[in-house]
Amino acid sequence: MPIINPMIAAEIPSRAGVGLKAEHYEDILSVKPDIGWFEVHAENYMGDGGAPHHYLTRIRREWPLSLHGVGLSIGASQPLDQDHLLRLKKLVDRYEPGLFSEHLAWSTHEDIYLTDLLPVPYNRETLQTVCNHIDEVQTVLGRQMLLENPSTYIAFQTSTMSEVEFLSEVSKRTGCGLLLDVNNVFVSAANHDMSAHAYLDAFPLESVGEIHLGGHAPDSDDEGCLLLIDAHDRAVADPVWALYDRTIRSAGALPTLVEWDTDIPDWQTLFNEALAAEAILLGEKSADRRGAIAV
Amino acid sequence: MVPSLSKQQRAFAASLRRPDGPVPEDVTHPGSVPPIKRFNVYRNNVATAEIDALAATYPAVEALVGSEFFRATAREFAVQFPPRSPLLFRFGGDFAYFLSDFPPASQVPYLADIARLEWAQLQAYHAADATSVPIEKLGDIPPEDVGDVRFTFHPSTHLVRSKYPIVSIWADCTGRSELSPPDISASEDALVVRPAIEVNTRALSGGAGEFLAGLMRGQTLQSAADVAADQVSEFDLSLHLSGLFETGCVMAIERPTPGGNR
Repeated sequence: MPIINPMIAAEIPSRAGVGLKAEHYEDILSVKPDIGWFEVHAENYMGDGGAPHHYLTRIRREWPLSLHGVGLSIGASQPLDQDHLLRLKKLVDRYEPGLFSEHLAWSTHEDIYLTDLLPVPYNRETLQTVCNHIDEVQTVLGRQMLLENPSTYIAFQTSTMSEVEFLSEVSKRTGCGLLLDVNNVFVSAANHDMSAHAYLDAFPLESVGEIHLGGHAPDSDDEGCLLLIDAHDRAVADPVWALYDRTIRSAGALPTLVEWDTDIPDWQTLFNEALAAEAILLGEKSADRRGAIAV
Repeated sequence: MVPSLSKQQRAFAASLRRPDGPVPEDVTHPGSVPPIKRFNVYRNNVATAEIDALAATYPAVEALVGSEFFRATAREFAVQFPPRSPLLFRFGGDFAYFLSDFPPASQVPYLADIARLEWAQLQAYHAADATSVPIEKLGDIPPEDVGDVRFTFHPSTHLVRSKYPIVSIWADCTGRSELSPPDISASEDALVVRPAIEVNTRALSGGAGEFLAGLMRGQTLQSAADVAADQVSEFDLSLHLSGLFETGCVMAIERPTPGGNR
């Protein structure tokens, strides 16, 4: 069903946005904050009607929207769920999002949905599977997608390449863009005793179309060493802000999303996180993504 | 030999759902012991997401049994009836069935009916949008045909029948009413409907549940009213008919087909 009222332009500006939460619908519509854009989890808007579509339609009339999938299971060896792909297509047609992104992860096995973003080994076989799936998504949706780097807690003996090599190769082969989650870089680097700076130095920043920031929770592993959990339950940590600042200085200003999905704070607290990101974006020239990232 | 991705994911998925099992073979050991705590992050993420989804759908059930019992029950349910769609709001439809046959929950005899009510509310929340018709539309029907009309219901309409006062219990334990604990010997049917944005839940009594059940099965207005009057001698048709229209659950009035069976 097309939206009757005209929407503002679809393109996501190189500004800060936040993940849209039902808890904030009314605040956003009454305060009309000066924020660049919103992002939603696609799966939360796959019902037939009611409040989710009512509010998203109203918000989409005033802000650009990015659609972020969490359930496509692109990293699964089994074929993509065709019904789910068609649901995504319907949402894309209805809300005309400026960006569509999904994860380098899997979440469905046979017909069981495993309610998490699970890791894949980085090798030739996975690469071929992921590229085939992304080709299929981009063909069905008729547009480019962005693929997000995961946060991981384990690694596989069957990996034969680094995560950055893997993502670079996927982007090169499929023409998809990349969503760089700086918090995930920090979390995974800490969990696998690697350098986040080295990861970012190697990352193909020219393919990045969007950045994610979020909070993580400290825990410990089997050796008693620090293990970071990608919890999205608190403010962005200082070292993640520092990594983000470094990334923007090197890549230019990019659409940046603050995610906060658990223990959701009041609107002003979340908005302040977006303002903090915007302060870093301010003064940096927008990264030119025309050509590299087809919006 | 390098395990294929398919075999690897089958083993990984099986380990995820086996809380005390070993970590999958091809997971690296960063230290000297198998990284159980690391793998358990995934196990916990899966279990927590499942339980949280059920808690979001079933707040009244949780309020009735307490958080600790609810989460243990939800975990057991998710093991037996795991999510089968990436749409988490589709998860948990079998919870009422599970509770009705779950001995630890048998002390709260109306628990499964409260779960059925909350599942109906979730279905209404996500149902397709549609426009309701006002009772005045019945005035367009020639008086001699009114008894033969049938109603099409708003897609969000759900009738939950119970021998317990489920609407009063639900309102009580979700903080929607100030009433003292209800008399559980009384029974209530629940009409759940979302004519616009808000999901409304209304208690039906005095034969209204029987009446609506007949109409929703496709009976004519007269037949449904007759069945209700058979059950409840004081059934008041005009009261319950206007009550139904007020909720916004009627989407269309179908006139009898000319020449069709009366």
